[in-house]
Amino acid sequence: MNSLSRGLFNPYFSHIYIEEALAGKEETEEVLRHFPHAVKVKISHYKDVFCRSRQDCALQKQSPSLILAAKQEHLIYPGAPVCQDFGNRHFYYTSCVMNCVYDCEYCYLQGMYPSSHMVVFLNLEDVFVQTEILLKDHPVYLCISYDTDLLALEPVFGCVRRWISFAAAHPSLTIEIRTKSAGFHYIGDLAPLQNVIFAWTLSPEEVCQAFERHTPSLHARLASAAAAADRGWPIRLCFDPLLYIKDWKRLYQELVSTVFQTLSPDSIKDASIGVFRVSSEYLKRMKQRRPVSVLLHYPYENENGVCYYGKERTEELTREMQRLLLAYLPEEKLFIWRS
Amino acid sequence: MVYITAALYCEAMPFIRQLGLKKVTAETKYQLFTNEQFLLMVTGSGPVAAAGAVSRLFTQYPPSDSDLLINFGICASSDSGVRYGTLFYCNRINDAAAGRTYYPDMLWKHPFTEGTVTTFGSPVKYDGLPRDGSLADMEAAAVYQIGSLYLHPHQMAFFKAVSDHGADSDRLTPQAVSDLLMPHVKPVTDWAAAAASCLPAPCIFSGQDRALTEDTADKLFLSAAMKHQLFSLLYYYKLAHGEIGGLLSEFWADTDAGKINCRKKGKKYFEQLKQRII
Repeated sequence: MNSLSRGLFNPYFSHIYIEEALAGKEETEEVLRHFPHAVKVKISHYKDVFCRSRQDCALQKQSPSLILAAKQEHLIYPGAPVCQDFGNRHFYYTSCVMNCVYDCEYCYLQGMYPSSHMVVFLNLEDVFVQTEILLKDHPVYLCISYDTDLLALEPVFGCVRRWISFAAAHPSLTIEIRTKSAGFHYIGDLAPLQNVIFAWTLSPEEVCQAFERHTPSLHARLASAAAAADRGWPIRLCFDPLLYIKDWKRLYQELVSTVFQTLSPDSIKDASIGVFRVSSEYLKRMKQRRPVSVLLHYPYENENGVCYYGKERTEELTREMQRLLLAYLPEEKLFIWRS
Repeated sequence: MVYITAALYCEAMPFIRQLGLKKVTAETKYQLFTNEQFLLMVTGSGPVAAAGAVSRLFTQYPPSDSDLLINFGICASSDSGVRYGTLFYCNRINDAAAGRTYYPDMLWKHPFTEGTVTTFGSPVKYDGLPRDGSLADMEAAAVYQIGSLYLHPHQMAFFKAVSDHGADSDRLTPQAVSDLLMPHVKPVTDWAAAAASCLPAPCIFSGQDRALTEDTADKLFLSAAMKHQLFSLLYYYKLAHGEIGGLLSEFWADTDAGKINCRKKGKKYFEQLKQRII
């Protein structure tokens, strides 16, 4: 898509679809205040727009609409096998937002959802109730920002602030907020909690530029992570996905070196390492949606429905990253995805 | 290509005249007009006629991902404050009979006022018009339904110009309808041509690439599954390196094709080719 044609697309969230049941509600109006020029369209259910057949997710990414909805079912899911549990037995995730403002070429959301429009569920209180039910039985480790980047959306939706407030009242709940955002300052005034982990996904600057469209630079992410660490928040570093690209050894070596020039190893709670991996069904759809992506059309190996670089190459990437990180972090702080 | 459907000839006439469209005489069932960029079909009035016509249009002239469909015509509005001739670009289409609603993707910038249209099976008088500000027509929902079998939701655009307020439709002559729509032809077609120009039509693998792939698969005695794997590998190689001809020339220069006379041997050499690609 050339820059001339990009000028023909509507800006982000030029259209906001609103479930009829939410029309006029305070939380809806609060969101709409941020988009005074958007065209508002009433819908009966978010799936009427989000689940239409034959949507072109790649084009929609140029001009995503916003869908305001209330989630009725599946408020909390058990953690997926391709995700790391960081040693937590009761591992769950929840999606109060579906889809992301960023446009990462390797993102599994392209294979998971039928649309690139962003759905925001405004009934966060219902998720809190569901979390409290789980907490009655056991501690809960809950990832709240897997299928989106909540911190990047904080100025509009304020979900992170509300989750932190909920976590403060529930010490047996640990939440992970995964992000590529440089927006720690949105919640920088809050007192740190040891049961709220900010997890920054870090990639070499070359990867940020080539494959992580619209994301902040590596330096901006690190500055944000450093600000959070300085305030005393637990920080997780996610070197995930590792990509097998030209010069990968040098790129990841420089990445680790840059990271620890900015962040003190002592301020890091833990770090994760994982190569690019995705379900074969998702990858099939991702390839259809990005027919010119070298990254996605790589001949991945399919092992039990999960596509990845294969044992040998995975081991090579993982071992090198582990070696680099062990210069700064003890082994018990490293969590590694293995096939 | 920009496909245009209009229910009546008098709704199509402004396009035919301004775009200089010529009649396609080979089409005997419907009135069809074309030039290099536009293809216009007069569908007939009502949802059944519109559905049949769009089905015929796309069967005879299959659209691609880089095409656009415009449904254009007159409509009624219960709002007497809306002036005759006001044009709406519809972001919501209700099907009054089925109780369903459709939403075309609104990805492109445009200069039009947006609105909702409700499709009825027969002309609606004032008392039957939607009271929620929605316009009333007789084709949009049917065009969307059939169109969505062939097109993505962003490839369909619905333009409706208000011709009456339900009680006054009898005054409309074909000439009055054409006059009402004429000023909208240029803005709509300019917009459609610009939007269609940025619809992607990536064609990574050329006919020559396919022929090279077929030839390699034949020489290696590959099964259907292995052939598919070869295609995926060469597709990746083309994306990464820009062409596959050099790779295959070098491979066959180093390989004695005459020695490969069965699938077992072909498989061995296929593995060698894979090593060169990954």
